[in-house]
Amino acid sequence: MRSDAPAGGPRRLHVLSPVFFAAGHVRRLWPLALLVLARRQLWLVVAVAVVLLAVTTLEWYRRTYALEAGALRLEEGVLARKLRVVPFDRIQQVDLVRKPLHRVLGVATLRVETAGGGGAAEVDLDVVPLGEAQALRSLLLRAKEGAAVAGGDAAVAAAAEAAAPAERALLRLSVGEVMLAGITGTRAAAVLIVLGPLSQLSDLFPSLSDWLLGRFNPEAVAPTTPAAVVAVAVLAVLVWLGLAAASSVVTDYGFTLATAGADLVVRRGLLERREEVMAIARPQVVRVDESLLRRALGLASIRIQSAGRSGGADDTASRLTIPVLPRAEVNRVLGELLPGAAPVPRLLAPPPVARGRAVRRSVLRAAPLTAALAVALWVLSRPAAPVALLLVPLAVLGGLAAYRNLGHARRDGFLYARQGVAIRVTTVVPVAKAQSGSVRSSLFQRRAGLATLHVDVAGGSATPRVVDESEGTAEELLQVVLGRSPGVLPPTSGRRGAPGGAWGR
Amino acid sequence: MTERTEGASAARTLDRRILVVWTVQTAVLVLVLAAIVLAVDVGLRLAGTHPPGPPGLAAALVALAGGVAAWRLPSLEYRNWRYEVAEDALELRHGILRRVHSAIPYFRVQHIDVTQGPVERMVGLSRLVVHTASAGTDATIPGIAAGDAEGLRRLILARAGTGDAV
Repeated sequence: MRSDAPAGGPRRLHVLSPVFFAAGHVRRLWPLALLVLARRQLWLVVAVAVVLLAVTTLEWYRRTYALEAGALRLEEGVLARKLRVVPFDRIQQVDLVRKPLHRVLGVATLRVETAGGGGAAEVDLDVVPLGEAQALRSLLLRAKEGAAVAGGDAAVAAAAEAAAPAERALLRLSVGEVMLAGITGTRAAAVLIVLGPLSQLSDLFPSLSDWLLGRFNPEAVAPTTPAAVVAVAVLAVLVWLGLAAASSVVTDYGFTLATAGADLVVRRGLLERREEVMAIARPQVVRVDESLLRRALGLASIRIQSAGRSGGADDTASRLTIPVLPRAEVNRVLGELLPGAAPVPRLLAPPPVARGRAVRRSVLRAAPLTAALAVALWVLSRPAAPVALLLVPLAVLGGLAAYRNLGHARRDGFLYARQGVAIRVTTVVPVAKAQSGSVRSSLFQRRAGLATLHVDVAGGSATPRVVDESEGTAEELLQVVLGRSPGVLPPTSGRRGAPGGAWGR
Repeated sequence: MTERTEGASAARTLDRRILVVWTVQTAVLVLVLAAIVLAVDVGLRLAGTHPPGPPGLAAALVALAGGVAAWRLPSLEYRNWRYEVAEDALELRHGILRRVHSAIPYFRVQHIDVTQGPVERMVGLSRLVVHTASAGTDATIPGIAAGDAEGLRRLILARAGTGDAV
């Protein structure tokens, strides 16, 4: 273990790295690559490949990494030289990615996510031998803890010497559960919403199904037109759900969440195996998402956000996601992710005035859509235009649902906030992680005596918010976010709790 | 609103010269808008269509409305702006229609920028932008006398101390 760790001088990546660099360049410059291939001249292809490999070999030769006191040091660049130093205590997450080819060749990509909004400090070691990647990863993670505790070289060395702690599995998803995650996921749901109205198109364009039937031999498909359309729609939905399940299996096959010492470990992937490691002390926010469909099935998903950059080229960066889990398990897993945060307490609903605000807001948001639909229907057939007004009661229902889903609570250094209409999002913020906070109120909110609390957390994720609380409560919560304990607050009596506060209890 | 600030440190208002900055900025914006409207108006007329009213009416209306805004809004904004270098946090209160009360604990501060736009430089003002590890933090104090900005920056940083701010 120790012998494999790159504790010595600067090191280079794996000898095969130039090939992977070259493949990356080809992928980025694919129009050029296509152009070269289109010439169908072998010498040209060979020449380009040789030049590319020469360049990437030079890049590989110049790119080194080394561990120095308290930091990971990277040097790279052929013409313009670049030196990057990543202090251990800035490391948020370390990912080990193994694409199918990597697995054959026994190598891996090591990715280090650091705190900060920009993508500049991110480190991609592409590729290193698997053993070295694993050793380097455990070294980085241990060293980070050492740096956080003592900050001295001795501590780093001692931490690095310590054996890798035993793993304890928190959650394993079966293939069936992973497929369910894909089927009930937002991507699949979005298509269902699109396909639903599309299946009604045959009413608007009677000739469409005739045209379809003319193309696809009516006798073979179905005897009657509407049945054929329904069959096609059902088939399309099934194919889509199959694709959603399959893509979910590809990314999340064998999903395992475990703790190893002070780290959270996620393993997943069918072809491209990923191992993502985040220190337990690092989560800034944990979000529990429940879409309508998942709520009906008793399922939820969880997103864990660290202080790294969000999204970028890879939307899995600096965040771990549990694609699906039974609601009864949410509190157990939450307790492991944020010790002390579980179970989620009963949430307090905002004052009743907020109901009117939620409904008005929903109706106002639906107004442009209603107008557009009315115009469209007017153009199609005049008497149909008022049908668009049916959106208004829908918007009212949406507003009522939005109000029902609003709620907040605080307990033992955690702030809980919930909002959402179709997807109910419960956000759990460790108050000690909040960067800053603000209380905001629009003119309409002030007239109703309401305000919204924003809790600014590190990293690029959406700001957790407590929407439409009373001004007094919002200001009180701001004091909590600032870490000023306002003493024991009087219980907010006479207000009903939001429904569905705690899971599985 | 909390009343915990008595004695410790009073809420401060912005430097009055910020009124000049905001008025000039709004006026420039209004002039640009009016010029665009005028150009579209003239263009349409040259193209042979006939927008309602005499030439230049739309631009004049925009300039008039914008003029009223440039005259009234800065003083309203100014009246609503307060900031306070409290014991443990920087607190800002501002906004006309949308009120904002934001608070940034000092120990979260990563760095502070002192910047000056051209108009601000002319009247001798600076703008303080406080950054934390969160992109959501909204902490810009406009209208600080250029001579005081450095002192305020040092004061906040001194209170920020050192430590892991993430």
